[in-house]
Amino acid sequence: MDEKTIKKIAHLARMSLRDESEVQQRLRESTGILSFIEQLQEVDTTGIVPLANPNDDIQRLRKDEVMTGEIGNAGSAHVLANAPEQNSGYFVVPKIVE
Amino acid sequence: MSSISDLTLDQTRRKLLSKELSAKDVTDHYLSRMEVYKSLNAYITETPDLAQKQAAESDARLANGTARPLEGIPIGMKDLFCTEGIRTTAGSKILGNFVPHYESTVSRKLRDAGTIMLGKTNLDEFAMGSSNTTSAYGNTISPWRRKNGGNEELVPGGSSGGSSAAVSAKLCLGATGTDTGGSIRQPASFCGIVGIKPTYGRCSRWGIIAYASSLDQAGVFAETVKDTALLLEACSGFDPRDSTSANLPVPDFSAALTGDVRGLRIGIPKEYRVDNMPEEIEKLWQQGIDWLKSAGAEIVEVSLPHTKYALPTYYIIAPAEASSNLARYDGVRYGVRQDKPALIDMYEATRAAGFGDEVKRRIMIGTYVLSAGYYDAYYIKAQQVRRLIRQDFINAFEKCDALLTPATPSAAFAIGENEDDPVKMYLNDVFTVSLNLAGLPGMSVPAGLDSQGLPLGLQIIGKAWDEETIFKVGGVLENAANFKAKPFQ
Amino acid sequence: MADLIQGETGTWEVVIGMEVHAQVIANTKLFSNAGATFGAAQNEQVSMVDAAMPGMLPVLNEKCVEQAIRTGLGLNAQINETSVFERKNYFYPDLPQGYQISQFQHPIVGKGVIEIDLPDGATKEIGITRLHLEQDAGKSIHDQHPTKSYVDLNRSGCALMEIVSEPDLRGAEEATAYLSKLRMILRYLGTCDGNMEEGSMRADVNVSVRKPGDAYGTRAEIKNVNSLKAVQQAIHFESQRQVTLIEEGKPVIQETRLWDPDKQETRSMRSKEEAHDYRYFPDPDLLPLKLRSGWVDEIRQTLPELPDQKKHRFMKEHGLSLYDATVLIAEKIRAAYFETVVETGKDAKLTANWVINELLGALNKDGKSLADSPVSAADLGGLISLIKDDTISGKIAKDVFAEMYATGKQAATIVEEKGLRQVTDIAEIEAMIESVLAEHPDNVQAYRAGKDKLFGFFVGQIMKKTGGKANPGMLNTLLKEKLDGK
Ligand SMILES: [Mg+2]
Ligand SMILES: [Zn+2]
Repeated sequence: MDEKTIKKIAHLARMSLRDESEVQQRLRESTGILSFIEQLQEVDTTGIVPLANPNDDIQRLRKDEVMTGEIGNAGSAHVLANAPEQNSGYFVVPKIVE
Repeated sequence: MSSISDLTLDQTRRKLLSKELSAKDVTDHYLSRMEVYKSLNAYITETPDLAQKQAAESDARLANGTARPLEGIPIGMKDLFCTEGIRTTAGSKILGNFVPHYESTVSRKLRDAGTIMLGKTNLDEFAMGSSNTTSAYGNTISPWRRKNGGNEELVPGGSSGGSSAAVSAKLCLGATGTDTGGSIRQPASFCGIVGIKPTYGRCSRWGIIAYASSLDQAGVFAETVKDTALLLEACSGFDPRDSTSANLPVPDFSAALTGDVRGLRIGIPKEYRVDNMPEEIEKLWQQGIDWLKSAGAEIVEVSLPHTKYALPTYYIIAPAEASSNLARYDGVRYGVRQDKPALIDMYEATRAAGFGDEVKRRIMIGTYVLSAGYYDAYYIKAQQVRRLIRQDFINAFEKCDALLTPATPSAAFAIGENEDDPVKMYLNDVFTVSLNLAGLPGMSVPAGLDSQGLPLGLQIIGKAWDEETIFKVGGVLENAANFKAKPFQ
Repeated sequence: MADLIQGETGTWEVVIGMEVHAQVIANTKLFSNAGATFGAAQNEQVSMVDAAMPGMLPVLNEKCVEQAIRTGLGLNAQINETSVFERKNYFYPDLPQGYQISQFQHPIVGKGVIEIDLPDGATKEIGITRLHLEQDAGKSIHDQHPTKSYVDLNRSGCALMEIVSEPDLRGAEEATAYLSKLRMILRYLGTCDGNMEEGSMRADVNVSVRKPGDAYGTRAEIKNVNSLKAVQQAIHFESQRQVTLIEEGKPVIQETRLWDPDKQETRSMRSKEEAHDYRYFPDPDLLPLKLRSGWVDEIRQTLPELPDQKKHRFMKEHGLSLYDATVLIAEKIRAAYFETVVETGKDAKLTANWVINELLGALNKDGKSLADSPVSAADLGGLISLIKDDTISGKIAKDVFAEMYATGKQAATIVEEKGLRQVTDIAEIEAMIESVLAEHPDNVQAYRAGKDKLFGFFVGQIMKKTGGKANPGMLNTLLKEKLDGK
């Protein structure tokens, strides 16, 4: 971990860093946590299948039925109700430049 | 009126059913206590109007014989459960103005069981913390004080610290929590109450703001084991809206409280005797073992060899999932946006201003361990160790029916302590976190006081889907411990 | 058939691999019960799940899984019993979750192969690398406001199949042949409507060049190629660009490039790419997808006959040429129409001619699809029966067909109403011949003196007299007998 990595990671996570002192703070913290998690490397995990979820069930499947309400068509009024900015039924964001 | 808050949830329920009390009496009583103890900051949002409306409905139902299982019981709702029409913040600035148009499955089930919601309880921001000091809405202060006269304000534990403080201070009869690495059991232990995290998949995660999806599990707090059984029964069950919810019947948890543990095999994992464990914790643990032994249980030593790797494993998996789960807080569809002319600046400013330090720490680590070149070394490795940890439990449960351990490595600490070093704070979860990795149920039962007069809990760990054994053992421990200490004394 | 580029340093081969995103035909989205149809008002087909509201969780649509399996079978591909949904993490306003749920390391469909038809009549096998299920993004609209973009989430969360080919295609023609065949297969299967204009089928094109026999060159991935024509143009431009670069001694960079249809060029999207590190990991809200045993076989039982099978059968069973078979199988409905006509008309080759040249020609001229044909398959079969049993001649049949097309009447009705029944009575035809020969004694003499070409003149005169109704075969035979003086 170095300052460059911290800046790269912060950018990937879309969180601006206030100033150089925050860079240093994040570097210090991250280095501390990384050295803590580093001890995992001593575990022999050869041939162990990774476990992503403790629930071993089979993925359930849902019927292909259109619904209204929360998990179906919720209505644009509800979908947009908390939007910081909206117009004509759209969410509005600063112009995207490609 | 002070007698109302001397009652447990179950006692209150009975008095409501026998009409010795009305839901209005009970609700008003708890609302007035909330006023008195506002300085504990246990609630982020109080909902007295809703509570009174619900109380009126409860009284009508109690009168006409359509009372539901928990009719008229006032509860606190961790502010991580989305509640329709009521601001839901996750303890974060970024959701300071967020009002969901939907009700989480757990809160809906509790509402449908007749409970009355008094408000949304405080928590560590996005449930990341063990002290409730990362909330954007101020610290929750434990109602407990050390008896050394120093009178420092203590943490209620976290992340469900508002809930544990509220139950402990009798600002509600029960409360919900979520537990990703110990966030129910540790605050329960710190506040001298009972807290249970059921098996992963027992309670629906639908409508709970996600921290780490493969670890998050809802649960409940109350004063007694029986009370938690009643609450958990009401909020458990299959939910087709959550792909990880288990399609299993919900047992009658309170019926498991038989008081009889004769012949049960209780495992004592030797690896939980960590270095520098305070003598008081060691003593309390031995005490618990003795209680169960004299109640007729058989004590067996078991081994969970990968225990020491649980915390580092957790601190890879949880931040990794969190870094992705929290990507949706981008100021586009909801939440507090920082206006900037350029999109990327809007994102970066919104998230920088909206998230607190601990959340940022975890997003940084999570992003890092998933990034190109580190994924295998950290994330895959952690998931492999996760399987080993789960296998440890499976092996141990061949020799026993439940495990007994301390719930926390210490009693509650003062606000501000442990804050110099995040890793030190993380050590709070050393006894609790493996259960989340393995998806197992666990309960903290108040079992004694430390030398400062602060509560200490013992943890009972059960097999997957076997909360009943936990309740059974919990009930026996509760009886034996006869824990009568109260805060504010 | 391969496109080769003649460069300064020799001949270059153009190597193409395709990534096609095909929107799955289903009522609802991949992980929510919101509708998945095209054209709803903005943000009206959006669930709280699709808008990534806090606490919302994905639940997998059975139909989408079935469609992916069905497509996999149609691509002759390996169906994987276990597959895993992962998150692809990046920020974009039309990506509400901040990640796309996709399949990465363990896709639902593995290696397969399809046959493409090249313009010279040859066929070629193209390898399919994989097919996976993933969520579509919403739509950003940039032209509504000078400083803002607008976001519509209707498409957000709709199911896509990403179908990746091996780099087996050589040049633009093969690439478009591949897209056409893939589209045909998807439409046959009913798993994607293949509508490139509405964006339900979108292609990313991977282009590289090499000297024949060399190892693969560095490829560029071209996005925003939204029509077959754009695919051709983009490949021509990009391959030429790469050849020029290499011959100038400059490197080709592995990157994503955008096709600009206005400027007719590809341009680098590198600035956008730089920050990308997708951090794939298994979605913890979903469990591994394990297909219930027997499901794949059940789906296999319901597969329709696929284009290539049908093509080969048409050639074998109906004796059609490769060309005719290829045209007829291009659409499922067209092939079915053809077979219905054959059932009534009993003559496959004749039917193929009529369907391809007359019917499709007429429909094409009117901009109509076969589904709106005014002439039903049974009625066209009726017309062909009349030709077959000599009730009318092929020439008259064309007039009858025009009438059928215009009025929707049946062939037999038109023939009766207009008295178009062919004259097949020998005596009647002979009488007609006698009278025409009598009217043109000079020409008879000239013919007999060796001016063979006059045969046609006589035929024309007789047909004129009969209104074209004389049976042409009989007329020819009898006329020849008369003229040759037998
Ligand atoms: Mg791709
Ligand atoms: Zn894709």
